[in-house]
Amino acid sequence: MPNPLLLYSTNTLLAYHINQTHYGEIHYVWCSAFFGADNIPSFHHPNPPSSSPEGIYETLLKDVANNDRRSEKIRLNKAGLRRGANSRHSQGVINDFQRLEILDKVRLAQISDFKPLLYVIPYSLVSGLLSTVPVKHRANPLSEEYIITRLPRSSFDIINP
Amino acid sequence: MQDITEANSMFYALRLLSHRLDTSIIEVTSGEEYPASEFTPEEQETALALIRTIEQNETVPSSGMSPEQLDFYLTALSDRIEDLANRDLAAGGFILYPDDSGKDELDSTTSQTAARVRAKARKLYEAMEFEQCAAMEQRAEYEDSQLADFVDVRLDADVLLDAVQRSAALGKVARRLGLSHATLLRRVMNFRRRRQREQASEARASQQQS
Repeated sequence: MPNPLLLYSTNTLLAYHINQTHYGEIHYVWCSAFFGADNIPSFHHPNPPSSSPEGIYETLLKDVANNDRRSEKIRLNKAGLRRGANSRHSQGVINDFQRLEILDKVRLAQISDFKPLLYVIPYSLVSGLLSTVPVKHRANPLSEEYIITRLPRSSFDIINP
Repeated sequence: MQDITEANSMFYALRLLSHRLDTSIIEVTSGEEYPASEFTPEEQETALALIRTIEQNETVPSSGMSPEQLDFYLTALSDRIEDLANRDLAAGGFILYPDDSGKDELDSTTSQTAARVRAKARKLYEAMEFEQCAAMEQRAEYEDSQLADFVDVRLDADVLLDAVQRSAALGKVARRLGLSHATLLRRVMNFRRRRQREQASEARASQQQS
């Protein structure tokens, strides 16, 4: 497959805020070359809803609109943000007080703070930063998933699909 | 500080389970490839053992579990991660978080239990060390609602107010927060009134539903 033009990643407003204010505008994202199942150019690359940016976006949007306190996606996001704070602390990016501040923000977050944001990332800007997710760790073995552990804010745009 | 290994293991297990990944083909790895880049071999081992135990208990792989079964374990894992984080927040002086042995006491409203809770609350305040007070200084910048939330989310508001009023540590807390006794008490009382309003509102809503 030729290099894609764009990569897509769905994240939450709270994740964006924490990355912007505590991690020096450096973001950690899982992303895909395909936004959703409907606009995939080849049937060889289906991303299931659980990992497609479109599926995650729509699920989060619905959960926030319904004020769903039992939302699985929101629980996962909270757990990921807590893990991220511990990870950044162990890397020396933040001190312990900042780590606790982040944990407290996650604790006090309202459902509306998990509003989804769609990141659009030009592939050419991040090709050297991509880690490929091994097939066995993808929600669908045929999907295309990448991790960018240090994505600068200057390398992506945020849109409302 | 929380057991980071446990927190990471729980998170990796949460991810494996939420995506219903086939743990029979996932091995513990080390090196650059995910998950070794993010989880230590020990964390991976713990997470995989946990998922396999769950699958044995349910006698089906995670891919075959019903949404209800899956939700039960996802909730348990995410609750455990939250619990570990809250323990850190308590240790840092951000919240009061009683140990599990006192949870039932705090949930009860009998006078005998309330007396024990008062004693526990006083003990918590008196046990505050300098670092915790320093953290509270930072919290003083926050709005009243957040300060009230920091003061306690789990103690009954009346019991808390009583404990704060009686506590010999109140002066220390007030000084560290840069507040007068009166201001701190006013904030706590505002918190109590807000809680009472919320409870009354919930009671009305409950009555309307029934």
